[in-house]
Amino acid sequence: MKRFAALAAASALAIGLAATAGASAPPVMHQGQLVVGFGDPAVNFANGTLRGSNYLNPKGYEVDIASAIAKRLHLTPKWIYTPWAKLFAPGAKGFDVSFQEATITAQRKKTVDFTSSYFDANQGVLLSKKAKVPHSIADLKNMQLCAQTDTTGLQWIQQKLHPTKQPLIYQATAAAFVAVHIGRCDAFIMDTPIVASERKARPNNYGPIAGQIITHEQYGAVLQKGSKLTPIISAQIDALWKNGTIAKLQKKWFNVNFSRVPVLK
Amino acid sequence: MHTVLHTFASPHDFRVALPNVWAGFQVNLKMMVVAEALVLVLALAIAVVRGLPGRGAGPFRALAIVYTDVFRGTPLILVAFLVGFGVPALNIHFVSTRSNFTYGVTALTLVYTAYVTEVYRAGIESVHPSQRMAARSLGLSYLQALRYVVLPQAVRRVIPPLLNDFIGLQKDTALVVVIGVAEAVEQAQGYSQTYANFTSYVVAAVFFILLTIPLARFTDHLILLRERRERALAT
Repeated sequence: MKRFAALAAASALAIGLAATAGASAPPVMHQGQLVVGFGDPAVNFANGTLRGSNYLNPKGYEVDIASAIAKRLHLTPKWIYTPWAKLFAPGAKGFDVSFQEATITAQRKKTVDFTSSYFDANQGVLLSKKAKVPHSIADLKNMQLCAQTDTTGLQWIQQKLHPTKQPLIYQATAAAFVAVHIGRCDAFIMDTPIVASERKARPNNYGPIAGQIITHEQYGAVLQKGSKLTPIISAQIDALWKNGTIAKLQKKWFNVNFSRVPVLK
Repeated sequence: MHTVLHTFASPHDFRVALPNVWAGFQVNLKMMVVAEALVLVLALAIAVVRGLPGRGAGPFRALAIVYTDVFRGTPLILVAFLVGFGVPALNIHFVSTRSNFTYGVTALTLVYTAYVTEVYRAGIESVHPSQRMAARSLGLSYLQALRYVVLPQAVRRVIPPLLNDFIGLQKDTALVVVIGVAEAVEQAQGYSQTYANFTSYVVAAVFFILLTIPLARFTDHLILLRERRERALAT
């Protein structure tokens, strides 16, 4: 009888411990692991080798932020590849959180959750070597533009600019960069830091960056709609802003003052 | 159930997406018509080359075999990337400045010509050698025997598999979206991403199905006709 009581006490204690552990452990898909998605390799944001759905040795600003968050939550990060074209489709996600330079918009918020912003961006205009340099937004109208599917850049072309030629639309960022490189496309409209970093990494492939279009976009990490993890990751990002980590990482990875890129009007 | 219907078959989204997807589908239609015409002619030529007799024709036969082996074995999406991004990168005057539509048609033609060549070849080989010999003994030249005796029988026999390959070609026009051709899939994708609804994909699927069903029935009809004719001859 005594033994039984001890056993009961022990199991009660164990249940109690488990309960407290459960309350403090973040609600991730796999216990002890933070499954982090990155999109098409983007220089300085998240760049690595893709093997199927795995991201090998990714490096960049978003990777450092994700690592810092995982560390603060006592989780081991696991990197996976999450294609952009599927990111905002409604439904279950194969990741806990995904960082892929996604601008927070009201429309996307209908199908996914966003964390607080970890980066501010505008749209940049990357020219091909053959293209005539535009001096205003009006000049862009007559050029052969290109964009990636479902991006704010494409939206800007279709809804604000209304160019005379149909823009070329590519599924992956890499395909659009190739199109600019080989001169199929005069100007690729895409987030300034992405095109600026790509151009810095491979300056021989492209013409200049004609300038940027001020759109005041903010990047947020993407989570499944209604995820319990969203406020937790947001709080961590806020903390990383406060303790100066984000400022330090921006200096480490970009060291380019994007506000110095001329503004197209 | 309601969510399933709403997500895949919402009447409202169907109506709104329809004009856009239709505009895109016209691009698919144009691609398939041009590619099919080219494939029919080119594949027949290559199949004939592959059947040429004699040692002198050896190199040509070899070329035809290499071509069919390479393009039948390469996934269309790779050929599309090679043509759509590779050819413009060559910077050759005229060749490198064509539209993505042209490159899409080129990729489709390259791959499907390889398939259809094999279909034609099977048809040509199915004609009994005695037919050819009889024609030659009547004084017809090799080409005349081919033109008036072998090909009419061969082509008639392979029409059903030919049409089958064309159904494949029609559907594969959707793949060239990867080189930036704004066709039905791209339009459907644009809609589904903007409104988080997949009815637009269903709209595109309906267009493709509507196109293939008449073709499938027509194929059935041809098979039936041939059976009737051949049975009638046998009695």
